[in-house]
Amino acid sequence: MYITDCYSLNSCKEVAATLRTGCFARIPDDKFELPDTYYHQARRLSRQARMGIFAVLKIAERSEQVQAIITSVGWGHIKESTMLLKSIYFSPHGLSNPTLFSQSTHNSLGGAISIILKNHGYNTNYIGPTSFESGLVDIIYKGSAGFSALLGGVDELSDATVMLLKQDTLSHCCFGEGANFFLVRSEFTNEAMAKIGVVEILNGNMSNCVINSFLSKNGLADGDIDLVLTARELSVDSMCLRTVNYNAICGKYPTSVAFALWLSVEMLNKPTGAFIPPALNGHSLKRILICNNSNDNVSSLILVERCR
Amino acid sequence: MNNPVYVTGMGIVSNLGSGIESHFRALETGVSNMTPRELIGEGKSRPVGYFPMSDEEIRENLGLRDISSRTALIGCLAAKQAVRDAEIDLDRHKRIGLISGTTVDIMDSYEQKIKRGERIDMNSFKTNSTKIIADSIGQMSYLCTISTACTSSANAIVLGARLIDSGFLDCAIVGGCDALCEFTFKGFSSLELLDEYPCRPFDRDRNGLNLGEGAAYLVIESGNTSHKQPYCIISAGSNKNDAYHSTGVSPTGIATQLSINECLAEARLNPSDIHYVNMHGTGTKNNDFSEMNALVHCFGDHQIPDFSSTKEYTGHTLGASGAIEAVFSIIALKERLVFPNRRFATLINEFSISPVRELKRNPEMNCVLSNSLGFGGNNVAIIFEKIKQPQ
Repeated sequence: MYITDCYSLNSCKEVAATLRTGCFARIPDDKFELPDTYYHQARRLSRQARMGIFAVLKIAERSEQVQAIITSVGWGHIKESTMLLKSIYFSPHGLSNPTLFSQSTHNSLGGAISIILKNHGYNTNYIGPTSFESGLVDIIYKGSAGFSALLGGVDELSDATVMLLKQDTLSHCCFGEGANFFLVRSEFTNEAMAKIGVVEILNGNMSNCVINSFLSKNGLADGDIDLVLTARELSVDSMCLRTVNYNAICGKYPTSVAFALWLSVEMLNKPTGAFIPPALNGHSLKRILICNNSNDNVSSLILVERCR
Repeated sequence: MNNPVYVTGMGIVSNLGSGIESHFRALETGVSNMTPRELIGEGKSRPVGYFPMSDEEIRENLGLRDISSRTALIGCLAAKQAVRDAEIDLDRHKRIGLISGTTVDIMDSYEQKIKRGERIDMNSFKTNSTKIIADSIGQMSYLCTISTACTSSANAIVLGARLIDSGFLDCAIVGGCDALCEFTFKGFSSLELLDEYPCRPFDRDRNGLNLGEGAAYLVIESGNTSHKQPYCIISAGSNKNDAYHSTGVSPTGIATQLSINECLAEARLNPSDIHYVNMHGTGTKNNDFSEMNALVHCFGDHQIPDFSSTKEYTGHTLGASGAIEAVFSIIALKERLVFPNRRFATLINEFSISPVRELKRNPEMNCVLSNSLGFGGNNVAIIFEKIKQPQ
């Protein structure tokens, strides 16, 4: 499977500007204002859905109609769900209109994309800690030739989310948010920016042993991997692998692994880009392994390769 | 599908009870036990379908003390039944996955906390119903959670069948779970979609849906590795989108038309090969109109197969409905029965077709099509086919 276009709406700048730990980096709303043409569709969308639509349009406006739209949300719609429940229990007028209910539906973004792009094709949505990876597996095994899809992950840092995350004192990191979208094709074309080699989702936590067996299963040695992007520190000293913590760049959120995929495409195509670690500056990278080890219950590995 | 995907086990819980037997009996005899539930702050109630076991009883039954989410608890019950029914040996399969669809997930357990103004523990966000169910069954190598509103578990079945067909998995537990909660009950009330009486799918005077709760899972396998005779094969599954409205369906039912046609093509079947259609049939004005329009378009006015909606018995179980109705479709196929819409009385003005009104024993029952619709314009159609006996 090949990535032929991608766009990342992220809070990297805000994360970089924040020096304290355990803080929250949000994207200013004016960074994802939708064009006036979409005013009618956009006015009832949640902030999270608008983030997703903004990222999708950056790609869709320059591509032909795709066969599938696959979205993923990690945190779900905590903001709208909490507001809805509070208005049921505490508002004197109860739940007076259905807007919050329809906004809190997890697949509302996928539905909105289908309407805006007038796309009747396959449309699905994954939730949970490895939701973005589930979408990748879905496309890889779609099995038909000449297939193209829009695939992305979105998570929003709302006040309700922040209230919850403040309890998470163990993670010494900055929380972020983002909408990362990709145009993927089943076949190689001249526009291909990267190849997604293998995706593995594990029902368990990440370890050196898991990485070792993944590499040997795919006929790879340590030396074949130029860089490992991890969600949090992972000791791979024994394996001679160079690592970069992607959550430290984009902030931590459940679908930040989609940002890591966008970052991989950047690094594979721009050897002197801003995100390349100094030791690798100028080296042309061939293979990046994304290791999503942010959750102890489930984790994943994605092998991304340069196309030319 | 290119290769046969066998259904070898089923598990189901709903207002009709627990297990295949109790559901079969309820559908055959026409039992539908809806009970009134009060709409907070509105001074009125609406009929709903409760699974007749308390959280405490389920916890006791499963030996799961720490699980507070009813969605996860009923999911565990149904998934365990399915695994037992299939008589699968978890160790024999190299790659076994759990693919589960849900709309509410474990959010039902937060409602009371929010009501009481209590703090919600961040740690509870680190798990979900799929993980809880997987841990209660045993060794799963692949987990996946789908949330596409009322088509969630139908999508889970289609994805599971495709992952087996392609060789990514060799066994999968596919389905979904959703417990009744204030969130969805008040949500559907705010959309003015709840009937104050038991729902009447496809009737001219239908006036909305009833909510229910439940969970259902199928065990599906590649090749016949099961000890027992499989129920049927899944011969096709299709997902299409209306691209019309965020919560409404298009009057033409374009997504339903597209997915039924794609299913027939994938299964290499003619419309006349379908002997029963288990419709989504919620009982709302728009859903039933749209779905019947699509049916007429796909099958023609005079060749409409027997059709009905089993939501008359269970209510609308949202994310679980696709899997619950998959179980009903498979029972219909196996027992050669069409479950009727006993409350149907009057034809819709625009149509000359009506659902089956009395329990029908069909001499021919080779293929059953199950249709599901959901918010976000989703439509999923699945074809279950009888296993051909060797000549």
